[in-house]
Amino acid sequence: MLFNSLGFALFLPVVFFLYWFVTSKNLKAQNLLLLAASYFFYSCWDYRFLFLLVFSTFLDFYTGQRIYRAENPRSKKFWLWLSVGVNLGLLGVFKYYNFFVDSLTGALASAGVGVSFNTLDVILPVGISFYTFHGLSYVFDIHNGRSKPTDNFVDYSVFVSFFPLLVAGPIERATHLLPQIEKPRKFNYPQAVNGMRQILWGYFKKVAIADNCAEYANMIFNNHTHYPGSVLVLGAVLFSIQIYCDFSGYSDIALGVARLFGIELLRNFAFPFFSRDIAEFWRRWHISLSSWFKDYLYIPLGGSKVSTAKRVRNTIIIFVTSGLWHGAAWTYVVWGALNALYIIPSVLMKSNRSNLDIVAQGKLFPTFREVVAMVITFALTTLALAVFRSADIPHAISFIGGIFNKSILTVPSGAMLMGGSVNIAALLIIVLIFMVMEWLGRENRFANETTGDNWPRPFRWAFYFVIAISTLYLTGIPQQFVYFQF
Amino acid sequence: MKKFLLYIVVFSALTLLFVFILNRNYFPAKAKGNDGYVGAIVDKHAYADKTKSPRIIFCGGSSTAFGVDSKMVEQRTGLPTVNMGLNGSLGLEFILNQARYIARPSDIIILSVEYNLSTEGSYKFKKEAARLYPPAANFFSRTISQQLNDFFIFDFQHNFKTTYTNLTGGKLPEFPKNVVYSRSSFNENGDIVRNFDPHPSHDFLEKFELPHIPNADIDPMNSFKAFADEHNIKVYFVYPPLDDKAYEAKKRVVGIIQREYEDGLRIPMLDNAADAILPDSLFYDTEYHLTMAGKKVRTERLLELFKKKGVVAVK
Repeated sequence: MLFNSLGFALFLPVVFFLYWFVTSKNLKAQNLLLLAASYFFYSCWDYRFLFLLVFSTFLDFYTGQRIYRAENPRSKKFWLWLSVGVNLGLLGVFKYYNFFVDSLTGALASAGVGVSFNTLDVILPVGISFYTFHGLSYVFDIHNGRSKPTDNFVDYSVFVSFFPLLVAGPIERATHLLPQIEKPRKFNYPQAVNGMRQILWGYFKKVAIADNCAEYANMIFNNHTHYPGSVLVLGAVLFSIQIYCDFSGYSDIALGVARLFGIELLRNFAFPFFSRDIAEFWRRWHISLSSWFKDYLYIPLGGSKVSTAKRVRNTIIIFVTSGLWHGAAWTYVVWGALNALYIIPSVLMKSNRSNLDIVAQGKLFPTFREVVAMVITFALTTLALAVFRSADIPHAISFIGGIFNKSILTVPSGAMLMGGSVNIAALLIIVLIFMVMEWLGRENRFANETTGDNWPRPFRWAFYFVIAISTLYLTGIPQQFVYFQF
Repeated sequence: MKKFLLYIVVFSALTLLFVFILNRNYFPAKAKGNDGYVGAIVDKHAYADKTKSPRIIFCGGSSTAFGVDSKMVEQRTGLPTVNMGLNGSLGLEFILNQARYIARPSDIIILSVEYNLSTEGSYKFKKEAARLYPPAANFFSRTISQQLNDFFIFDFQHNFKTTYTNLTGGKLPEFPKNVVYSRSSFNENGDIVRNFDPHPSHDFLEKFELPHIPNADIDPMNSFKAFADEHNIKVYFVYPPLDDKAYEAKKRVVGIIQREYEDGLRIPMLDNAADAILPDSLFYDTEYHLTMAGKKVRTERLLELFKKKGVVAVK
């Protein structure tokens, strides 16, 4: 069930009604309803994988309790590693087994050793990377003494599988979400209105911007040998905008929907395209994943309180692992490694925490220096994302090679860019308007969070009406949310 | 909560009302003719309507649009000939239902489907055909979800655009008239007549994939045969023209498909797959699209078959 589907348009009001009008006086019933709704939502993709979700949930719930009650560190470690081993084992089987087998076979073949291993004919369960990381954060936090296990299996199951975040995050922490699930919730009008605004903005980003950019990006990436470098640059830029609007749009809808149920989820994006360096970009892009890796991998490896060589090593490990988390393909690994390469100079110079504030805070326009820094950061991340988008490494090399030659100066003709649902010139204007709105709202949690608060009601309503109608009008060919495949 | 629900309902109602008003054409937003390729469906039906039975009606995808010289067939058989071939993306279901819609007793239907034609086809193409030629909406089935999507997205987008254009006195963008894939490239009978020489980028062979799908096609075609028998309509099957290089590359799959047709298809077959193979130099831009010269060669072959198999008297 996609957020941008008829099914979800029927599902959400029904759950909302039952939640606030039928079960609102009984927390247990409310949580049970959320769990049933979440499992129904998940089974709409493939009910056969529901057992995997329930198994993973039960495993972490049980091992969490055993870790907490263990009488000695050795026993604690046993239960922790059992959970980690089984969780990563499942992820390995479903997501990485074929990748490693193919890579090993290829490596042996290139060394002249002809070996054949069987690959698995399995599909990737939707959201497995997300709910596995939810569960792992729970057991890690209990092991590290940051939180206590819950005794309520339903509450814990809702934490793992709450439907807005189940298939594409944000990756939640038990310390943040579980207490909200355990406490009674009251309908809060400003919170619900805020949620609706974020949902509307999320749909606009996904349907009007991401899906239309995807049509051109797909066309250009899939036929890149027919285009000059200038068009390939456009394709790469459109893919960057697509993936941002797709994923952050999904996150906006997820956060907004959760707010309708009185629950606040972790923020996942903070206007990453207005970053002045790569470190800042990573503090603003897929925040819940970056912070997960920071807390559970980077810091245990010693973080930044180790020698320079180890800091560099840790940085490479984090980014390559993050790349691999996205998918079992070398393009993701190289994408992660490229980002590591970008960020290492600032790690060495200890300047990776120099842009912690919001760019041009309190001002309308940035300085020239800030503009240059943002453009360079955007260019670097776009180049890395071109690798991310490519079908394989030869495709990526060919695509990037196609950019860096004199054809980059070719002025694209209209005939090169026909075929999208929205004319390319119109799309670029819409993207520009969108970026201006993002810029104006960059000091909020999402672009339109406070837009119109001080306007007379008819103007405020007109503004949101225009967004709703524009979303319908600009609907292109519906595309799957990019991050569902992870 | 009451205030929240009230506002949500009012906001949603306003949005729905706006869409509804536009889609009911309260504004002068009638669909304008489209000069694009699919727009030819209007002209094909117009010609089919004005011709008298018995007629020869060619049905299929774009290989039929590019691959038949209907004027030659008319001259040699003395029967009005209509080429309903348009685009394989419309799908077999659409093509057969369209044939049901236009066929009359004593007509002769020549059905030719591309090897990789799917039963369902592309919804986008079908919907576009239905927008330009409203009866085509009955040629394919729609789920409730698709109907809602059509109303809120497809129709709304079109009506919004035309309403805006009408209110501002502007013009909808015109489709270039000198390209092969346009409505103006078809003659009165429905044949494409601008496919002169082989396309310079004759590099389709690597992209030509041949999924194995005829099993799904056989039942709908047999069901059409039953319909034709009931209504005294003759129906014959011919293989689509295919580039010899493509045939060499895909011979095995074509052979499998032919065997399945021979085993399961109840429509009389006038030829076999190998008979429909023509030299690469006679193809325009894809493995199925003949040039004008190729079309003459194929039509001659078809007329020979008609004569040999007693389909119709041929001069």
